[in-house]
This record gives sequence, structure tokens and C-alpha cells, in this order.
Amino acid sequence: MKVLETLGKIIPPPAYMQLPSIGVDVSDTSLKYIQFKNDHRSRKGLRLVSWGDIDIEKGALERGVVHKGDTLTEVLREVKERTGIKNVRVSLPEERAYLFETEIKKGTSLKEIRSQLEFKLEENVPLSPRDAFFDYEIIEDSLNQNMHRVSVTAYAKDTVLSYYDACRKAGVVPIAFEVEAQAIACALIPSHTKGTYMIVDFGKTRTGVGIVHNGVLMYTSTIDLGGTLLSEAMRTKLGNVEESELTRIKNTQGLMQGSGATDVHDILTKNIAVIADEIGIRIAYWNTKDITHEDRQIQSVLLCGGSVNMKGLPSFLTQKLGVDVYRANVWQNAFSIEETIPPIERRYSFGYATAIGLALAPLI
Amino acid sequence: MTNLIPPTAQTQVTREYWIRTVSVWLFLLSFGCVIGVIVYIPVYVLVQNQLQVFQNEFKQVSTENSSFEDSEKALILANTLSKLLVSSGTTTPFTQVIAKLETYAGSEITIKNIQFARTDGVITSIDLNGVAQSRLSLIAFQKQLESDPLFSKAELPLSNLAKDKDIPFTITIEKEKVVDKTKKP
Repeated sequence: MKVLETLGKIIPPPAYMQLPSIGVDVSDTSLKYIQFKNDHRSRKGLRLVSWGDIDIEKGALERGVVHKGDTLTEVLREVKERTGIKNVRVSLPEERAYLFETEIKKGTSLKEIRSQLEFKLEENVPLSPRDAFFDYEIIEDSLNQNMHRVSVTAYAKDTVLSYYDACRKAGVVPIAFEVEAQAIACALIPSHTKGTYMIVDFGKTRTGVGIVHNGVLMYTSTIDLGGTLLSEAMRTKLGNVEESELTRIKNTQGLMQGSGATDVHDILTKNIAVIADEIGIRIAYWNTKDITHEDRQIQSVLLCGGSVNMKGLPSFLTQKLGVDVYRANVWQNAFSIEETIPPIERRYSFGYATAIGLALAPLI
Repeated sequence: MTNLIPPTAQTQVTREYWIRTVSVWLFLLSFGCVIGVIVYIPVYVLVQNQLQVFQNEFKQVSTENSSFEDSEKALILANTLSKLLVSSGTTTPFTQVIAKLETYAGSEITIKNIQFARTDGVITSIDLNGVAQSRLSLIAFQKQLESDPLFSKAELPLSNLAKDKDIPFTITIEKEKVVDKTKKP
């Protein structure tokens, strides 16, 4: 396989054959898109070609449910006009995802695995196989010689089709629908890295939590607290201040004690502590869920998302959770930031993690 | 990596992928053919030129060859004619043969009929009919014929000598063979 990979890097297949696509991250408030191209001058071989952020009308999507399909269609059409690319890889809301882990006997054919999983679907998720789209990934497991561990992701058909229909109406061809956390993992975790990582996507309206083991998404969860909640809490003390000013305060004073108003610090600390507790519960659940697999213990927490620039956030969470917490380098699987200066500022780049992961998926 | 697109969409994507793959391979194949054609153009031109040269040479040689064949035919004809001339040059004329026969016949032998037999236009034998006044004169006539270098043999059947006078006879004279000096043994 390594020989083929090396050969593929030396003589890459034409871009036309790779179905050139853009990564599209759809959230409740905005749509972000990213497109990479192969660049043989760069060591990792990729170049950022197009990117952008389009606001979505409030109420068009709520907690991942498409209420106004036409609005989403318009936004997707604008993406197509801006980039000229018709193939898209779209993220699906993790609030609507169902993940479970199961075992399949080794040597089972792919077709049979699918039919066995259909039976197990009903036992594990509140959806019948007829009403669900699901896919699976086999997890490397050296402890069990006879069984494969399989991670299954399922979505309600209606959820997937609402995104699919919006894409088709916009004249774009969806070639992949992926869970947000899986896409983020693709961007943040160096390829072929073993181990277990927690990914925290600190967004405007909610905080997504995903656990990735050996590159496979094993668990997702959503905490209904995000950057907007912090802003609202700050407004109770600071009055009706512009969002940009609040963001500046968050990013310059943040959680660092003594660097600004004590009231703001206390409000931020109180709210972030709630989020930290929620994350802590999930870490504890995961670490005690399967103690036979030591390699499944969470090694570190990677932060991304538009609201992750808060000053002192990683150190605060590290202290609270007892696990190393870092702001992730969203470009690490695309190019080296020592060689290439990304055209998107670092503080904004965290918000593009999902779109970057989606765009990277076919290229790495 | 999990992909949750609907199965119908997955089929379409797979189909499009294969269409692209096949079209890329076909493009590469046709591109290779075009490059091949371009590469072979100088060789083709060279071969065509050489072929043209060879065809011209062949035509030239064919013309020369046909003239040689004509010459050969003419030569064969000339050779045949010359052979004929040679053979006709060595053939004894009838008049000479008849004159000799009359000379040897004298007054006692009356020649009634002379018949020449020819092979390839050359006289090989002469059948001579006539009446001899006496047996002696007939024998003398035969001996004279045999002694002549022009004739190799003169056969007189014994039955012709049965009578003493007015003997009807038939002598078959074999003429001396004409040797074709142009032919090698």
C-alpha cells in the first residue's frame, strides 16, 4: 500500500478523475466552504484555492433541521457561483447523528456486514432501517482475534434527504455527507495517527463534542452552550454592546484573571465552567466505558470552532479536565504553516475546521 | 470514512467516477496514438520516399528487362533463321540430285517416278521407280548410286532381279545425312 501511496504522490491521478469538490460546512447560522488543489511545490502538496463564509437567515436551520429548504438552496447556489465547482462534500449536523459500536465476526462479507448491521440498527438507535441511512467503519482491534469492532453512524432519511434535495435544487452534486466531528477529525488529527482524541467544536450556538479513536469517529454529543450564550451573559453586565466588541473582550481578556474587568472574568469563567463540566462528564463516561482497551483513554482535547479564540481557554480547560487541551492547527493536514502563510487569519481559521476536513477527505 | 449520501446518489457518483476514469483512459490512449502518429511521421515519409525510389528503380529495371527480353526473342529468331540458313546451305538442290540420277541411268535405265521423302525440310530418302533394259544395267546403276558420296545407300530388292529384260524396279536411296554444324554434340 505504501508503494502505491508513494507512486500516487509522484504521479498523481488527474484532478478531473478525483471529482474535484469543495467542503461545505452547514451550521444553523452560516455556511463555510473550502477548496484545496494539489500543489506539487508544497511539501504536503495542497494549496487553498477558495474559501468563504455565507450567513444563513435565522430560522432556516435549527439544531440541524432544515426548516427553509429554499434558503439553504440559495446559499448553496451562491457557493456554486462563487467557486464554479458543482461537486460538494457536505457536513451533517451531529445533533441528528446516531453512533453506536458493535461487533461483527471476522471474515464476514461486506454485503453480509451491511445486512447484519441493519438488524443491529433497531437495537441501538430509535430508527427503523427503512427510515435510516447508515454507514460503518471497521476499527482496528488487536485484542479480539475473532471479531471486528465496527463503528456505525446513522441518520434519519428525512434529515439526509432535506440536505440532499437542497443540494440538487441548487444544482450541486453532493458526493459525500459526513458527520461534522468526523470531518473535523480529518483536519485536526495528523493522518495515520493512532490514539484517542476528543474534539471540541466551540461554535456560536452550541458546542459539539466528538471522540475519535485511531481516526474513526466513535462518539458525538452536543452541548447547547456556545459563544452566543457567553455574549448574552456578558451583556447582562456590560449592557447592549456590539458583538464585535464582546468578541474583542473575550479574545483579549477572556479567562485570564487580572487582565480586565473582574465581572466579565467571573461571567466567562462561570459559563465556561459549565461547558467544562459537560465535557468532563463525557470524558469520564468514555474513559470508564471500556477499561479493557487502555489505548481508548482520551489522550488530549483539541479545540476548534469560531468561539475558541477566548484568551486562556485551553489552560482553563486543561486545569478543569485534567487532560491536555490545545487549540488545534486546522491546516496541519493541508500544508505546513512554516512554509505557507494561510490566507485565512488564525483566529478565523478555527471556524473553518469542518469545511477544511471535508475538503481534505478525498485528498489525503 | 463514513459517507451517508443516499444509495441512489452514491450510484450516480460511482457512475460519474467510472465515466471520468474511462474517459481519462480513452483520452490517454488517443493522446498516445496521436503522439505515436507524430513520432512515426518522419519514418513514414522516409519509408514512402524509399518505396518511391524502389518503385522507380523497379520500373526502370522492368523496362530494361523487357527490352532485354525483346532482344532475347530477336536473338532466338535470328538463331533459328541462321540455323535454317545453314541447313539450307548444305542441302543438295533437287536439280542436282535429278541430274545425277539421269546421268547414272544412262540409256538403259528409264526413270518413271522419283519420290523425295523429307524430314524437317531436309531430303532423307528418295524412292526411284523405273524400268531397266537388263539385269546388269540395273546392278550397275545401283552400284553407281552407292558409290556416289551424295547418297549413303541404295537398296534394290532382290525380287527386282527376277527378270532378265525390261525389269521394273524400285530403288530406295538414302541420302547422306546433313550434319547441322551449328549444333554442338
